[in-house]
Amino acid sequence: MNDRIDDVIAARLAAVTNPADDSDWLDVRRRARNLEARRTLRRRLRLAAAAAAVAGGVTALLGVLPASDDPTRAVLGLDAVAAVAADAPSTVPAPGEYVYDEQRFGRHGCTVEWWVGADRSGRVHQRGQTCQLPADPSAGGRLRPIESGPWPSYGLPVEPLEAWPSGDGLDIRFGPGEAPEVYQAINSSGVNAWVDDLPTDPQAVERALHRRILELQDSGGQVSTVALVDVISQLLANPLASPELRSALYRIVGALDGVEIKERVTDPAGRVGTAITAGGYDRGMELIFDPATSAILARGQISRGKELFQVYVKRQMVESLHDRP
Amino acid sequence: MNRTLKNPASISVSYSMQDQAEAIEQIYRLRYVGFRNALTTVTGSDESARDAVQEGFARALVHRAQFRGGSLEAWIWRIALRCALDERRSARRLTYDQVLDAIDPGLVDPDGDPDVADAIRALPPRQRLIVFLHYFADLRYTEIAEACEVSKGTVAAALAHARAALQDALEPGGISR
Repeated sequence: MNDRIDDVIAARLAAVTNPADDSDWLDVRRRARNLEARRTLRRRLRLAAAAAAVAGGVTALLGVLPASDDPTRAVLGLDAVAAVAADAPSTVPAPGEYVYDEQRFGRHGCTVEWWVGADRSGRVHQRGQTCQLPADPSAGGRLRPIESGPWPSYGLPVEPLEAWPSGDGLDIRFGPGEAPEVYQAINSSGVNAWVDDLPTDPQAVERALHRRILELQDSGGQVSTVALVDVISQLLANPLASPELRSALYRIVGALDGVEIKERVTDPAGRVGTAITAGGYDRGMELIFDPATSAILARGQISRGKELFQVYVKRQMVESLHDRP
Repeated sequence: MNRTLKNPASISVSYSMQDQAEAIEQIYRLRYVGFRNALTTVTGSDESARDAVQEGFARALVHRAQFRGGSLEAWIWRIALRCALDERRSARRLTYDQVLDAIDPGLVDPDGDPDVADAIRALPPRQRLIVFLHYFADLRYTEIAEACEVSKGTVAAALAHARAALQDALEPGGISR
């Protein structure tokens, strides 16, 4: 009897409720981080008040207030960066336009320039990922784009060279002995190819990243925070990432467990930004960005205590291939 | 996530902090709509109920070390109900019993089913809450008892009373229809 009444009541109530699932776990995690940050701040203020009472002055209070490089402040500010990213002008080139991208790699500071552009069909190509070493890797010189075929590491298809208007969209210059380092740095993963078809909703992006990282990982298992920061930093640095995607990526990275956020750090080019770090001495990732513009300044790969930086020196729209700002 | 918990509500204090975080996430993913719909009756709108759910789960994550066993889902409900009351007025300084006393739940759109809305409105507030937790959130008696700080017998009695009241109110145009 109860079951029948229950069924009827449940049906009547269900008819007047909202069945839509608008859940957002990422938002929960972001709120939790903010709560943690506020809790830390409150704890410090309580300590400060106690110390000030004992000291009979405000000197002690000043001593425990969060400094400008305090993670408490940084966590609270990361959502603002996501909003800045959403409003930032797009760096995706229209057909006939190019993004000039100058980067510096490695300990020797070897400079790489490339131009990201769209062909006449409107499809966007980034040539920085499609290159091969010259026959003699000990020589300095220039990396050449490969015509087609699978990507050596991941078996991903490579866009044919003829898709570019000039057929020569890549120009990478480097010094003697630096070719392996350049190659390693610009081919560290096939992630840049993902930028075309990722969604822009933060939760959907995070799910897609988990799925794709697991596909890349031979061992399967779980996706580490380091792997996520690695991938997210590559995507944030990609000029083809839309403002919406970049905003979603900042929201995701700000809510990840196990990341450290530090304000007012200096990148290898001497610029001041905010750093997000994951992992530790053996393996880690660091991403440095400008919170005012959301632009990526540098990303560092940490291995056995050493950090190898990829520095994003200059990025600007230019009118034609090989133009420099 | 390492494993699927068939009944995340049964997570006990013996789980590690990491396991608890995963269990909280699982409860969220499985039960979100129930949480939001039940809390809508407390906050008065979908939007504010959603905010209460998000805030409730965030607080649960942050304070999970304070979980002392029993039903994890019921524990989250206690937090979420406080958040829902916060949507209307600050409940931070209230005891949990005062929170429960202050909750006056009701259907947001009584015109959607006036018979049911009137019948539910005629119940005492705590019984209404029990009804909503049972029908919207799909909570078991034990969990409702923990969330509402009453005995399991009280939940059973309240639901029996509510059923009878609803049946009386809805007949002949309601349940027997």
